[in-house]
Amino acid sequence: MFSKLKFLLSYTHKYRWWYTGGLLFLALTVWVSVTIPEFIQQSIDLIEKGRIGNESEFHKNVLIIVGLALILILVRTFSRILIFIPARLIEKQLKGMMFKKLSSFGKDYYDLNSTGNIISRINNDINGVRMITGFGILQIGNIILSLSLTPYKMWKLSPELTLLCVIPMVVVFIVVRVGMAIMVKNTRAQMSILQKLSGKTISFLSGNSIIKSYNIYPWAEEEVHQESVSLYKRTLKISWIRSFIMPLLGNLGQILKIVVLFVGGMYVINGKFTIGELTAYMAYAALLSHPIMGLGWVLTVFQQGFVGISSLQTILNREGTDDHRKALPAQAKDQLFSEGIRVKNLSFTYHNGDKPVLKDISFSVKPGQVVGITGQVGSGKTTLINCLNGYLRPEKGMIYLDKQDTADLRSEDIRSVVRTVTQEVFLFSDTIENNIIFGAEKSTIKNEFDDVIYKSAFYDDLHRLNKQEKTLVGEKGIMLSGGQKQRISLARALYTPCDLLILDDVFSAVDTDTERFLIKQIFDHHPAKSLLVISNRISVLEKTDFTIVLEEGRMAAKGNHQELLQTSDFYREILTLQQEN
Amino acid sequence: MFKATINKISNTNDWKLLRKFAGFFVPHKKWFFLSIASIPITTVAGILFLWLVENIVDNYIVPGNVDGLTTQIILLAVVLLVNLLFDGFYSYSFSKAGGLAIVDLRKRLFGKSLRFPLSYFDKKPIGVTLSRLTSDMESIQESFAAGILGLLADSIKTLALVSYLFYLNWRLTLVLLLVVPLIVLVMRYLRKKIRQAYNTSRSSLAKSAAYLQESLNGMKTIQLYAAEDEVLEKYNDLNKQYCDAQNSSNVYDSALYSIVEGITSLATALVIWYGAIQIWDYGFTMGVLIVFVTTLERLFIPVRQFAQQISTIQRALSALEHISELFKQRVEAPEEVATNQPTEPIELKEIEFKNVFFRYNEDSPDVLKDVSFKLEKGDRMALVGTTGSGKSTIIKLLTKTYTGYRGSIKINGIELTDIPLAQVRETISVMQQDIFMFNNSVEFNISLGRKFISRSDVEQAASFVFANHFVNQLPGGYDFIIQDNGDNLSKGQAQLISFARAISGNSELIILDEATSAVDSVTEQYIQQAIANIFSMKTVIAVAHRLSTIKNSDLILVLEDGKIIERGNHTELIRHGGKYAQLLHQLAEENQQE
Repeated sequence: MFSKLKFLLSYTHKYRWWYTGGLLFLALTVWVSVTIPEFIQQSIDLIEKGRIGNESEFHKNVLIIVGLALILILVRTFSRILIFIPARLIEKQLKGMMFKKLSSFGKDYYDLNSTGNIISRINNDINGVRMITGFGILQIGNIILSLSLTPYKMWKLSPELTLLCVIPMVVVFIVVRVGMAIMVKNTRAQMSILQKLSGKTISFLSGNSIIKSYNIYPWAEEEVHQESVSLYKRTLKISWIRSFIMPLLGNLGQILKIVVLFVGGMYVINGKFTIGELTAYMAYAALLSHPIMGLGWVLTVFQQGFVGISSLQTILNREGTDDHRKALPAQAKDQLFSEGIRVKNLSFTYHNGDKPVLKDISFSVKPGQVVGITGQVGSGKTTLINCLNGYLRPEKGMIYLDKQDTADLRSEDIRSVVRTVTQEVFLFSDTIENNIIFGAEKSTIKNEFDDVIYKSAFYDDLHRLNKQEKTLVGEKGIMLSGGQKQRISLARALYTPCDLLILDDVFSAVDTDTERFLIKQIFDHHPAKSLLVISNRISVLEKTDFTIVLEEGRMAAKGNHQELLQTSDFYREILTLQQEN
Repeated sequence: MFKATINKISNTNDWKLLRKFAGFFVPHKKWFFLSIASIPITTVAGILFLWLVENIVDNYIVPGNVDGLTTQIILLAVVLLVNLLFDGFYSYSFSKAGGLAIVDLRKRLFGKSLRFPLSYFDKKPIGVTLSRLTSDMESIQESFAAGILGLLADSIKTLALVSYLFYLNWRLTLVLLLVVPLIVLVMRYLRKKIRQAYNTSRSSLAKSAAYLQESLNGMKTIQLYAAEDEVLEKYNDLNKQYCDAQNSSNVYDSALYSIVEGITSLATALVIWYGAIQIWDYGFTMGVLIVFVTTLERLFIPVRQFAQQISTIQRALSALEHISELFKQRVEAPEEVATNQPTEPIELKEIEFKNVFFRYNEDSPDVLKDVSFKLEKGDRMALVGTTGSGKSTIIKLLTKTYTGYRGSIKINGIELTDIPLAQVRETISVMQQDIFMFNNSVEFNISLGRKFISRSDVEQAASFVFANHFVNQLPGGYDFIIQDNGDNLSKGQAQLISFARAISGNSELIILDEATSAVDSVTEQYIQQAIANIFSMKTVIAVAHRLSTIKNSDLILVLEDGKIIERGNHTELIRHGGKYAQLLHQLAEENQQE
């Protein structure tokens, strides 16, 4: 509770002047709205006294009411603007902070949390905070001010009647609160049923060919129908409360009217009240039902908002991958690759695995070298390069850049040296151009765009497109083939220079001619100081300075083409297969 | 906005749609009528309440009549209670009727969607159909709970209220109604502004959400390019757009809210001023004035809610329009859907394709050209060829997934078009390449709830295809719950389960569309043995990727560009040294690659 309030305070503090202004205007609003009934009361009493002698006084009164009404419009508008705007600003700030935090998490976090889950968290939880800092604060201010000022005015008119009015208010409030709690519970249940319903619907629609070929329609229909019925039942429960309980709050004014008419009516008959006072009292009672209604909602807003805050806090308090690592001084950064990269007895086990995927691997890549990695599916090739580029974090003392242990380096420092073209390509739904220059913002040296396109064998493809590099990729744009995406991703890697370029099986999705072109580009022009190429193609591997053969996470062999023909069965096997063709 | 809605409703298409939809109400009309019947009661009670208040003030409080006051107050309380009760009853039974209609509608449309031809899902992403069946339905339900409901009742009540006030004092009512055009004008002006800001904010919110999702999906790439700041900046920009739009709509929103609230006070001043004239000059009663002053607020509530309710209804109408797509879409074999009779599989003797041609639609080129072959009971046939050569089209024609071929396809001498779809599907089991698993037990995923398959049948089938080894090791064995898409099984395990699924029925013909994905070596061994076992028992057509599968076939058809270019068994074709021999090498390399 305390940490959550502190959390709220840390964000609202920045906007304290907004809030102060907003609350001041709110106080004015409440004051004006309780003052108006006083003038209504006086006016009505003046009417009852008769026209003579009272007319000018009466007209003055009416004009005051008009004036107050205009002021009311103004101050209420300001109070709402001044309180709602900072809430939106806080929302914006929180979104940015969450995003920043999320981008500092590694694979271990994303393995455990699905994208959909994270998004709904960001949306719902931050929304909850916005509701507290905007609507919540306004309502609390409103409630505190109205519930002190209005009852005071009522008390001044008649203490006993005020006490009598409290009884129905408290009863209605409690009943409605219970109703709301039930409603919130059922809304949650409704949401989860809706999710189940969606899940089943999508599952059955995706598997509809199975349902067709095994003719099991009735089963699938019944499964969905059951969820549909339980959804209906929940909805009906909510509807019951919405129909029978919630209107009590909206009609609180009417209920109070009955009490006031009865007791207040007696007072008028006894001469304790004027008819104007009775009217004013009724107006006050009507004013009270607003903050009471607000109180009901504000509790729900705070309840849900606090749940959101604690879920935000678990993300914001989680340590990012690099939080405990220090950034390198610029000078050290510049010579990070002066001696290449050195791997020493590297072993690696995934955070959710029990067996090591890499075992005792040692080699080093000197500046200027081209190194190949080969091996069967699941032999650990991709894991190995993910250890080199810092996406995975092996223990200390296993990988060195210059004399620096990469375990102590921040990811951004490793990546200023190591660039990876991954097997699975990721493109933004943006133009081809923006996808290629992605990540180059901070870089001072940029290569010629057309040159990069040419070198990644994308020139012809690009010029076949109507809008060329301005063509949109993805959902709203063109559908690219796997090979085209692969080459855009290669162009992205070549756009700014780097020291060690890792290519993870980039030749798998291209045809033979393109493959030959790319190999020539890469081996003749050396786009980076050193290259690390994962491939199972002999045409690639035979050109490297040496190749590492991985088998079940171990380095089974290492050497150049000739040496491997002697030492590696796997290497010979793939050679035979590819020569036959 | 109201006019647009009226136009929309009066649109003939929408009428048809609404009538169709209203049809779903018919079985639940009881609730619907009960709901409608409560409206007059609550309306009368509402007016009665006002009349009693006026009566109490004028005839009891002002003259000082203590005796009758208590009875009158009790009466007032009873009237309020009746009002609340029937109001609740009205909205409850209305949403009950709507909810029941939605349940029926969803059942009907989901059942229908399942029977859409597969080609429908090729064109339409499943997500679209899903949102028709879920979020669109919810919108309609929501409009029943709030929109249509409130609009109808509020209009009637406001009308009754105004009429009553008119009856009490028409001059005062007219003066009061002077403010209505004022409110309407202000609302129209501000709503327009709000809508503009709202549209901008909605589109920038959608952009920022899409960007967030994209960035989360591409987080690895972002991190590998150390582009976290670059991406954050763009995300912040999008959020700023959203925030700015929200804040400008905030200003208008606040003004609108305050003006509507403030106008109540202005109207009060007006009523008091004119009320005084009425009382002083024409001798009207205080009770009337008090009724006016204290009910003013009630009068303006519907005005405030009106716009909101109309937008709910508009949402429901556009949801209805979306749903109509599902109504219009044809199902495959519509004549059979109605009967849904269980059929017996055909006792397979032979299958014959004779000069079969096929194209997907009138303007596209043929994807199958002059395909002929004959298959007898117990034969094993393999289809070999590159992607797009027409292998899977042959399968799709045989299973009646696509119709409209030219030439002749016969099972036991009967033309395929004359055999009911359900019977074809009973006869043929297809093991698809993309294996689908239901979020249910292993047992269910094998039996698929078919009544004639017992637990022991399931276990037999599993051991026949060597799936029993790994199933027994799963926690709970056959009761182990498989996640959606088989996420908690390996690809190979899922394949073995789909084998068991296919052979556990009494299908005569098994079609095996071999998956190309790599599996570990132990499972690969089991899969090959399982295929060998299936080959020994059933008639099989295989779209083959495994050398072992191809070698064991009696007849191999080599397809290229929709034509059969070579046919024979393995040895014959190797000896021939044509396309087949070439394809085998490629296959060998692919297998190695993986």
